[in-house]
Amino acid sequence: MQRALFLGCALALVFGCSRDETPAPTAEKTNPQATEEKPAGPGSLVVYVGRNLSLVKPLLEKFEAETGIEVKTRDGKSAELAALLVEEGDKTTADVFWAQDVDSLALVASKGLFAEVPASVKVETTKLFTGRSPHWIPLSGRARVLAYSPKQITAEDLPKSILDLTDPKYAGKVGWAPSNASFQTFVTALRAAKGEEAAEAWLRGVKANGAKTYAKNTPIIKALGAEEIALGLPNHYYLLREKAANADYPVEQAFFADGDIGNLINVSGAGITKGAANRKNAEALLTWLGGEAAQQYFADETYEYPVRADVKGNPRLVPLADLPRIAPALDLDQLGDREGTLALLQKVGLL
Amino acid sequence: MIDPLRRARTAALYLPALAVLAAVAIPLAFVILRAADADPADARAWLWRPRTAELLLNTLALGLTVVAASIAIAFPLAWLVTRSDLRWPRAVTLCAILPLAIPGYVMAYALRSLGGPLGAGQALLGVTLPRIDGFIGAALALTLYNFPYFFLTFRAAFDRLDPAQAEAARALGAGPGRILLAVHLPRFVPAALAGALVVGLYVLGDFGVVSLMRFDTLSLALYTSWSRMEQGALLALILIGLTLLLLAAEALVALRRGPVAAAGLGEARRPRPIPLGRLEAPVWLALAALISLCVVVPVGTTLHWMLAGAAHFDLGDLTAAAADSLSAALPATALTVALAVPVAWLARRRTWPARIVERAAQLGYAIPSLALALGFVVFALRTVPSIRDTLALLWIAYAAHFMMLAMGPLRGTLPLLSTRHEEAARSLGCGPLGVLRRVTLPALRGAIVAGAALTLLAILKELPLAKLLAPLGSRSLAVSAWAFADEALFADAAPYALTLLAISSCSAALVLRAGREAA
Repeated sequence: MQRALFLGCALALVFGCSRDETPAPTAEKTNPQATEEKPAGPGSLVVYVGRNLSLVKPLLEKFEAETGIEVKTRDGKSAELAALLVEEGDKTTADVFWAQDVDSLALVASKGLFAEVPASVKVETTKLFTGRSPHWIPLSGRARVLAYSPKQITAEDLPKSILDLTDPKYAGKVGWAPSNASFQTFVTALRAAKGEEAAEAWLRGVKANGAKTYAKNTPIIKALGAEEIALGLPNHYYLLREKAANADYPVEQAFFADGDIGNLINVSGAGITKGAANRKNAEALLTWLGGEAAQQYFADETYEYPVRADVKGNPRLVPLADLPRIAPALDLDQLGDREGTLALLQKVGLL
Repeated sequence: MIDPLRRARTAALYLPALAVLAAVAIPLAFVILRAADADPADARAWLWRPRTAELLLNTLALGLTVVAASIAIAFPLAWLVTRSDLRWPRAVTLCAILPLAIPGYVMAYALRSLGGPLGAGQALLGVTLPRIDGFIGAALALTLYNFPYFFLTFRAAFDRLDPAQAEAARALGAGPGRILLAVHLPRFVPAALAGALVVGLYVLGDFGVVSLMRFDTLSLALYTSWSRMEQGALLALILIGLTLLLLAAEALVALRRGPVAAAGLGEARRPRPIPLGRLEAPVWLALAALISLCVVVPVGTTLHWMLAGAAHFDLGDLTAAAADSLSAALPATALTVALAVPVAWLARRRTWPARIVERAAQLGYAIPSLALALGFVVFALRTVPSIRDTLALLWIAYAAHFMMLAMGPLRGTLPLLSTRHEEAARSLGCGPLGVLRRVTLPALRGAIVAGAALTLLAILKELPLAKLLAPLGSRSLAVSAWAFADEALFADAAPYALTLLAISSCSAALVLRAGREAA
């Protein structure tokens, strides 16, 4: 009796926690809720927000006000939410996943959890942001930059390429964040552009050159202000936020030479889940976020790059029109292999 | 003749134990199943590298240092507020518990921002202090908000100490120092072990503080392994194995020592406070230094964030976040404590099922919270999908994760109680539930209150479970504050962090007061 009870419990646990082994249906699941035209109002929408919710909440509220669609959110780090989506599989209640980086979107897409974005949603992006992925659309751009402390290094002495950071001239002066997702996306780009060996050699070289490891972008900006390091590798908007609070903050930033891999442009983007119960509303949100009003918000309020050219850029930023010259020639779709990057970072002992 | 009603009542005591087993088994099964997906060769290559040994050594060194430093702070502090004639013991107690409410990253940012040319030292004193980081920085930050775990358990144990023994020792000519070492100290081993397990496991899992302090531990590997779920699960399994070893070692120590209860229950008389005399001034100096570091510095830093920047402050959002925090934390704490008490009490019977349940209850704390959250999500979706987006799932997950905190003070105090009074009550015709209610619980009240306070404060500032399991649209104070700070929007984070601190200190004060009135 006791044994049978024990066995039963064990089976229940194994069943409850196992992965859904039924292969994902090739045809998209038609959810009864989605096909049923409900006359009772515009309905709702569930969005997993891998970006800072507080930054994008005004946007979602505006969307709610304009369309009458109620938006429910769950927010967290993009990688966490991607892991959550993978575990929830086709049982997720999420209709849209809005992620901060390509890696998380690629992970969800690779598990077959995104539906294709219909042609009606395709946003008028500039060529820079055009990827081939049919499963998600880019919504804003974020550049990798070289931040520096002018008290310790003059603009003329800055390295022309991120590959120069292995130079003994910069020994002990560089700060980076190997556990940070944006840095990892850069490493993925480096691997794609220069090959595995060159990427490994660069990582080992910069590490051997005494680069200091930080948790993420913000501590790098703080460490530059505190003159703990002279050079740092963050995303472009963190310093702008710091300067918005304190205009005299003694840190500056620059791009490397035109086309350098260190000037990588990463994107945030969104896709619609395969089993989305509110597909129509999800499509409406993606279209709206790619529209002029939302794109103008990114430029004005979050210091990001809009993905379309017809939006007035933020005067604090290098103009969007200059980015194609500055950014490395790279396809967004080459940025999805986080697994390989993590393996490399583990191999060289940075993780 | 056995009264069937009485038998049913006894069985009822096992129900919470079964619930606890199930709650821990769910995420455990998830971790094991995911780890089984790992490719053995791949896993060996990943784990078997010099870097793993380096990270492991770093972790052990940090864990041991934080535990030792925390005990060194907490023990004298607990003695001061329970045994000496220190003035304002309640205020000191509250100040010594408050650091528990401070999120690790706030502590780390605060300590880091003391030094450097733009630091608080320069701004307030005109002295450029060095910027703290590395091993020292990580150990300091972790100690400054983890020592209260030991403080609370020690305090509960001091409260239950039999003053007759100390008085006998004094009558025999022993001074206060000798009494502390020979009479009191041995009775704190269970409390110290319980605290060491909690703090040790916390250090093992902490990524926020160590990464900001630029000190790499195993949590770095854990943090970056979740996009390959099988790697993360494998690492989680190793951590769980380590915890099992620790728990076994702890059980061995406890067995060797045997029961330590002497007079046991019924010693409600407070001993006469020991006068501090000439030591009073240095003691206050040390207290002031400690409280400035662990309370004033982080709270001051948060206030500075708020005043220095322009926050877009929304009172509606803040109130909603506070409501979300409380609606998650209060019922979850009640549930955790309600399950912890019968489990800890049953464990005293030293039967093997009772012991298994006790260990299992503690294991929940060793499961990395992201794995725990995902385990519950997957289980809920496959069995009772409608529970997925409810607070109930979050409460259950919190109970599974934080049971160890609620049990710590209980496990520190229970071995000090003699079973004789309970036996006497039984022989006088009192049923097991009656014994629990009328004899055991009143004696445990201090420990229950301490456990509740620890659990509540931990849940209020918890992040991963709150992010992944809370109902859609719900967003606690801790999550809101963290989300802003993570994006360098410190001014916006400050109101949430300060409200979190205010709510935490109010609830800590209320809980302490409840404990005092009951005692």
